[in-house]
Amino acid sequence: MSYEPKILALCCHYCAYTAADLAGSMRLQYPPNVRVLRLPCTGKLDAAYLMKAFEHGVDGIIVAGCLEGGCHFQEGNLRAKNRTALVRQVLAEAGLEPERLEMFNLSSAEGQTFANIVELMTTRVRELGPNPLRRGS
Amino acid sequence: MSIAKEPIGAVMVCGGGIAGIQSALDLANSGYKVYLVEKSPSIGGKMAQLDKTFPTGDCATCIISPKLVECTRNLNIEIITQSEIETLTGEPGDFAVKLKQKARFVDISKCNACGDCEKVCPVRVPNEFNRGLSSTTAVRKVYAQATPNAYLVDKGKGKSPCKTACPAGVNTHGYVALIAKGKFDEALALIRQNNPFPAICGRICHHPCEDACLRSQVDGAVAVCALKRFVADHESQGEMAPPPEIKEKRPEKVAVIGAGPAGLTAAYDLALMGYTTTVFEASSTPGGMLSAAIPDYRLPGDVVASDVDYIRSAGVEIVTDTRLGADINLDDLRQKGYDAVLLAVGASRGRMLPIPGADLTGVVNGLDFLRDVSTGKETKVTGSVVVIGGGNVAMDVARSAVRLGAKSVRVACIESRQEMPASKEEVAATEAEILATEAEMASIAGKDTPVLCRRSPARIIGESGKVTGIEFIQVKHMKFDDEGRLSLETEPGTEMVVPADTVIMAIGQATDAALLEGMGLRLTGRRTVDSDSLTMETNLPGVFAAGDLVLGPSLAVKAIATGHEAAISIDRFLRGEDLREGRTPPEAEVVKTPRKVKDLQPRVSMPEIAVAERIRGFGEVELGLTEDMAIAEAERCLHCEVCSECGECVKACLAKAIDHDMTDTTREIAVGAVVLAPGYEEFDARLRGEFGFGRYANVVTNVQFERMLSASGPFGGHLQRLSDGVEPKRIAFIQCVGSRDVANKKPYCSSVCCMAAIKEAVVAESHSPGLETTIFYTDIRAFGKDFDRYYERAKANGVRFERSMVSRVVEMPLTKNLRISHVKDGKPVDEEFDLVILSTGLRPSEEALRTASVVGAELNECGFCKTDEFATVATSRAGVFVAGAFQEPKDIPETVTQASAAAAMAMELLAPARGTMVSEKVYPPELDFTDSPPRIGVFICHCGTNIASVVDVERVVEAAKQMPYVAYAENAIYVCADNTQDHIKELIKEHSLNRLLVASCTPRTHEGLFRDTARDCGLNPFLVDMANIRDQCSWVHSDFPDAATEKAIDLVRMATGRSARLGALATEELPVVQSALIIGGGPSGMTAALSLANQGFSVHLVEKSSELGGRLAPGALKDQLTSSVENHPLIVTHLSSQVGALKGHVGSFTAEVGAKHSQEELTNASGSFANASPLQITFGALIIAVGGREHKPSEYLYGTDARVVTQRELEAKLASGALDLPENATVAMIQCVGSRNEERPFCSRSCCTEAVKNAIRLKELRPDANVIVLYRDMRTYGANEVYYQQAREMGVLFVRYEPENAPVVRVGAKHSQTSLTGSPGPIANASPLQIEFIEPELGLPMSLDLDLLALSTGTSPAVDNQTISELAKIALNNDGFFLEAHMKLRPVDFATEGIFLCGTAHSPKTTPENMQQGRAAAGRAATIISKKTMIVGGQVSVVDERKCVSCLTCMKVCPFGAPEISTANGKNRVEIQAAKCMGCGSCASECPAKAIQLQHFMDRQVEAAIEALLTIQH
Repeated sequence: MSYEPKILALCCHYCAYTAADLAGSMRLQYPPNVRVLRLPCTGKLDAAYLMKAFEHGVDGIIVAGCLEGGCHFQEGNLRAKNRTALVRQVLAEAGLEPERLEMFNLSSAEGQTFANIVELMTTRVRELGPNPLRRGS
Repeated sequence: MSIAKEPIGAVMVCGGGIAGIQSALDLANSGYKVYLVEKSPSIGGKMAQLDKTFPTGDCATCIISPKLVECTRNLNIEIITQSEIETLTGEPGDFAVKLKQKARFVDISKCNACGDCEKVCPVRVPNEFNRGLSSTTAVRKVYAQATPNAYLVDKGKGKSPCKTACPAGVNTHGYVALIAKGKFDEALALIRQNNPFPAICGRICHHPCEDACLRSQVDGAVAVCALKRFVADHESQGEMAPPPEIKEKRPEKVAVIGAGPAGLTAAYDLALMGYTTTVFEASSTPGGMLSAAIPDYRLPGDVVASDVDYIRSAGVEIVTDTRLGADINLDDLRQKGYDAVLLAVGASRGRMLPIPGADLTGVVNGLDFLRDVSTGKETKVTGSVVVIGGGNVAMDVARSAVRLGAKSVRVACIESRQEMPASKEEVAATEAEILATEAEMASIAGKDTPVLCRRSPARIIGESGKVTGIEFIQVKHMKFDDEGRLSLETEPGTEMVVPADTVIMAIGQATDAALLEGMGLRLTGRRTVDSDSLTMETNLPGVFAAGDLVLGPSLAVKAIATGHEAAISIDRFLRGEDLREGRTPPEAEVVKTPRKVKDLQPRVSMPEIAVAERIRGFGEVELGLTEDMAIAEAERCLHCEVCSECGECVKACLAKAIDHDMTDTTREIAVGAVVLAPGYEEFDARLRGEFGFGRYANVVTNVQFERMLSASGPFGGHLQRLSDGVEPKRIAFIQCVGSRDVANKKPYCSSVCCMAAIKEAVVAESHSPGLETTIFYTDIRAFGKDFDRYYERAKANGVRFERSMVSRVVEMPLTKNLRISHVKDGKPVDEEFDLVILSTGLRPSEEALRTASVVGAELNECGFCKTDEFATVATSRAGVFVAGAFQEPKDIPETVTQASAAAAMAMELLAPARGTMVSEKVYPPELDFTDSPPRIGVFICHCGTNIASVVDVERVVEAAKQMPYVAYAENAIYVCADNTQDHIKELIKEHSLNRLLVASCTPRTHEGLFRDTARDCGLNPFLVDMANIRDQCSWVHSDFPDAATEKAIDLVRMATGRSARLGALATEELPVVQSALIIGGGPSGMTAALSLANQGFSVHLVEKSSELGGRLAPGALKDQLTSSVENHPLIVTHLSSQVGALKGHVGSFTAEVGAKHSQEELTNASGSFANASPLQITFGALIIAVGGREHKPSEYLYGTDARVVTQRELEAKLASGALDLPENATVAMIQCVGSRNEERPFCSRSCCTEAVKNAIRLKELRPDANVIVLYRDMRTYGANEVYYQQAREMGVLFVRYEPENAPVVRVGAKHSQTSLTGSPGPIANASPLQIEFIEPELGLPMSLDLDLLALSTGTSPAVDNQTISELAKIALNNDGFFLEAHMKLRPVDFATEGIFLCGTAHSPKTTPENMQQGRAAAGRAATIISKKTMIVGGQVSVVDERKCVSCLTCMKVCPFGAPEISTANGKNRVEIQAAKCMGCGSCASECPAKAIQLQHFMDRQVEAAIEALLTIQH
């Protein structure tokens, strides 16, 4: 069976999650590899979530928050950006491709953007191959 | 106007569409009791019928159904369906409404919408909700999510004619419907309720029901009589059904004399009532005339016997060979203990003509003859027979004579063929049989008819005392008077003799009058018993009479009817009750026109024995229908009255909710105001006959097409043609069917059809890839927010837009394709399509017009509700407001906006009464599950087919059952439906569930609903979680059902992981600051301010410029608004000010308001104020009304040539009279300057109407002027279309241009030319202003010299939108206007609670529209600031004191200042203020000590979801 990556999307309730809903109501088709987990704000994103997910074998993670300057809680998405960057560093140090993790910014009106992000990450992670931690589990 | 001093805090909202729903919710949520009155059985209106909505593509049902549920869940909204206002009296603030409610026949409080009734309903009628594209039952729910979630019985618009026609009151429609369903036993039982002779009447009834049957106007009446016979015969092949149960045994005894149809009917009825009933019959066989006089070939003796047996089985005793007068008399019966007697001895004496020769041998009485034949006494007839008489008895005699061997038979009667009382079938059969006999015996040559009409017998001729012939004379005139006496005029000299060996007289029957008189009975002039026609009482107490005895010789079914009446009277007599009371029911309206029949199917013909065969004996001629024939025939019933009242639903309903005896009711309700929101109806497309709707199968309306596209529609969302079910490849839309149509009195534009058609085309393409779609249009009116983008996207997606007036549609006979003739590039073109959709316009419904007239609301020139020019929700009747399409055709967001505005106006009127009539919901006490292990209940939704068509829901359920802590899992068609909610509540109790997990759609719309369900069961609302398997699975992976199912299972697993770790959270109540702050002092902001202030709230109005008014032109409106604002005691105006910083949250905001340093600063971000200490203003709600600005063009020489002005500048010139134009001046206008281009890809909406109005004004002032408008699409939507029409009539020229060929304007060399209209052009002393454009019809460039050029410039977003967006954390759309929470249903809300939006800040609009939206924002804001307190807490952060080291990181992180240092207990520790905490969790993620957790999103909860995702590898 060919490898199908499993991708976790940590989405802000106000922007990305709503955009995902919009992608749905617009019937935009995107790869079925993504699993959305809703957060009240990407500011709630804890580095530990990312680490834990990779540790458990997820192949890629999308962090999706509001447009910069458009955070419902002012700077939550900026803090998430920092944390994501930090975890990417850690991944690199641990020998895991940092490209498996990326943060995106989009507004709730951008259903198409959400679909594009999923498409992009699925293609990328598919090329990267399975999370080695997953293979080992 | 006079206003009630103490207004009533209740509002009646008429119309349960989206407008009514929004008004009701706004009013109920801000302290008013609402009566939501809807004329149909459920709320939801037209929106519930739509498939998707533009421009977002939201599923209409998905977005409206939570609102429907919200309405039903709101304690302060009483939904009253099937009701209309009858009268409205009183004054604004204190109205009395008389409401008429139609009977539903289902008790809503008992109905649980299980659908059991629907399963047994035998009726099938076109489904109106699907616009006739499918069928539905009489007992039904209008649509799946219908609210209230209860069934109803549709009893149509009147009684069915068949039922009304039956004298015996048999439920004809009912048993025919049951037969169609194959329910033969039930059908028979239903017949027997009113007629104990189904087998007999199934053969010999003269069936008035069939004469009345409306299908006779189509392709022949339903063969009702034959159907009745069929069910009786069907029973005779098996066991006879048991008689109905006798409910109460009565002590009295009743004697019935005469076992004919009247006597036996009464006896049967009385036996079932519990009386001991004995029938005394003179002859040896019961049945009366039925058995004695009707020959076996028509009614076999065993058939009579079987019906009589059934009557016996009900407990009726029949004593034969007992003759009244001889064996019994009335005194005997009294002595024997009979308490009442019914005389039903009939009219069984055959009459004889007193003519010469009547005493000759061979002259026979017809009735005696038949009696002798039936008893076997008469077995042979020889020679020639002449039968005298024209009734059925005469025919029976003739046909019997044929069978008994007569050589020849002649029937003679005084009537003409048409007047003969015998049924046509009988006469025809008689003729056929006589002719066949004679042909066989070759006794008489020739084929003359043996039925001699208009012959009066003069004398009977005989020899040696024996008949040899009979002499007739021709009848000239004949007539029976009312008493039945004959007046006859014959024609002398027409005598003729017919040879005969036997003459049989069948000229009528009579009662035994001598006997009756002897008993003391009073008789009529016709020698019948004189009994009361209603009660059947005779002059003797306790003695009743029925049947032929009172009717004279009559028909069986009429005798049965009198039997019923006699039984009722005897029962009442024996109970000592009034005999007459309530026995004349009000006359019901009878349906007069047949329903449309799609497929003609002729009436079944009864199989018969061949003539040659049947004349040989007395075997039954008619063979009866087969089962298949019976069902097919019954299916021809058109169900005129919809419900057949067969009673099957009553039997099926275990909840006993169905009551067919319910009646219409009226009720009086006191309200302070009324909101009319009755919606619209679509134009009747048949009125545009050239398009073939109603004649061509593949021409449908747009509403039908919506239903076709809908997943819950008739074809499950599969696109197909109606003629053959084939998927169409080419479809066409024809726009403006019943809009912009002066001929059909629809001069207005329906505003929504262009976008609706584009959306339908786009959605259709997604349903059917490769589909070619063409829209034939005149102008595409994509004037709303984001509409042009949608239009452009549709073009890019391949939707073909053909600007052309379609002249006609023609159906191709073989393919059923449709040929559309139109003109393209000046040439006529024919194109073929598989399916044509007519975009029908909107019009007010009849009910709306009636209601408007009842409440005294006037109509405007377009026939819609007239409103104030600037208060577009105020009708001509004070205190009555209007919202939605009844005011003017409009789309959903504008309808919702108007609904909120109407609510706001009602709130203004009823401000003192706020909160006086409302009640609050009380939830059961919360159960404590702290120490219980998690027991998760998982509910997986099909969402109709939205989820289930892609995701294998059953598989998800099975997987869920295996997940940890899942105690129960099941699936439901709609988990959000009211009945499912109730079901979930039961399951929560039954399975002791302490977590609720719903896998359906998005928690953004549905979480609140399920939380409320949980609370109703004592579950903390935070123990609810959702998995979004629709928006994230089925909708986005529709081509990968397996992967979507796997994903759905993963999402459910993640949610169960989280759910198991969820905990109950507490909430607390906080005070609300009951005031508002409004940014922007233009018309929308001022209207909002005034509305809120009029409602009694204090308002701060912040305006950055030095005066109020915004972009309003100087004039009365501006003066009136500004002075009202300035003089209102509750409005504080802050001029030259702006908001510097905004803090707080819904219910409690704080803003810094102050003056800025300079004009430059105004456009910059927030920051320093001129005044060092700006005002700190607290308020509960914020309204953004910052307006927009006029685009200042750089094109078309604007600013360089004084002759080029903007439309607004022209308007000012027209208003002030400063317009200076030469004779025969030429004025041009160019539309879309700075709109609909790359930089501003949106329509500025108001410019077309402004241009048209200015053109009209110009023509009024200067009729000599030539006015030419260069446009792309004239977007004079709604009633503005009337101005466009007027302008054209006044001679304004409208010339279309394409953006790639935009007009060119230049200053030319000095010259003179001829203008477009042929008049001399301006003699230029300056360089001429020239415009060049392509004439679209000719495709050639044209050039004109202009005296004036007006540019219709677009509207741009306000410069400081970006600043305010950042300040208030509210979003902008791609064009720089503010983005509302939801484009359809929350048009004036922001996603951030407590902040609202109105005016041009939302999108370009006209001034009245801006003001309306301002009022709507006020209405929405009132739902917040009308409350003294609000609930906070729940999803907030909490600090673990043991871990906190007071590093203050959280205080730096929190944008709301929620963490504070607490010094309680002598410790300096951080505490989070729940009221300020907005639940973002930033502090929790940032806390280095991990001392903070955001409740409901605690680390262990989030991590559990992540872990659960990867528990099982695929």
